[in-house]
Amino acid sequence: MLNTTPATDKKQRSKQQVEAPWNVIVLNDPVNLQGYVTMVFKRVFGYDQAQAETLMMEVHTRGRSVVWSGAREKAELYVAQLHGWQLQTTMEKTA
Amino acid sequence: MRILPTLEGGLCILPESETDWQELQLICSDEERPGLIAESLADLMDEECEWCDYVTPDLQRGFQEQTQMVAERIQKARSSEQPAVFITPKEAEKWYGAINQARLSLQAGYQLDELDELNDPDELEDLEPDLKSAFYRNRFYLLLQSMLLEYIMEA
Repeated sequence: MLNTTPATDKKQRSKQQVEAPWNVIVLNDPVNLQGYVTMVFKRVFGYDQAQAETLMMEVHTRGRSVVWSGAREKAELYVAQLHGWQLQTTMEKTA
Repeated sequence: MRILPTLEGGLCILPESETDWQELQLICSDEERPGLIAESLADLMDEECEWCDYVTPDLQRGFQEQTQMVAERIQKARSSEQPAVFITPKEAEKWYGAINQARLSLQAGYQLDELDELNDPDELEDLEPDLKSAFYRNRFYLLLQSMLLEYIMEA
């Protein structure tokens, strides 16, 4: 069977796979203090107090929050850092 | 036990009885196994990303260092002429991390969050001894963490 997929489509799809952003997601837990989570977001991502508090409250009220989106390698680095601070964190590819 | 802020921006813990020392030492023994938390965090990751091979060992080492440092500081303070445990600003994060490990272990073992709304002393007295002890240890650790945050880490 011949491969009828145009080369340009294939290239575009491959490019999309490479560039599709990943979400870094922090999950709620009953141990970590709100002030601590806010402080960690400020230190790891450089967010200001207001942004860090907004994300922390989202974790607290909704059970999870996307705290950063971007390239996979950088997302992995952030997840590793957040694990080091003992925050329950995972990452997933955006739809 | 008294906990005081120090001039250099840290905290000083002054244990006043054998029980106080035991409570401090329990921080390190409540943390069941340093690797356990790193492994449970790795469980949140996709198996294909080989997290366990590359990240988990580093986390385990880091968590182990936190616990070891706290154990050493308490032991050293206990055997000194003027027994006081000093938490310097430089070491505050490691202290916080070690205490957090203890709280995570207690939470995993006893589901203490289910007791959060229990404030009636009579209801607390009715708890099983193990659970009651874990509840009060968790409260003590929480207080220490709050002080570390307020006086050192966020200052």
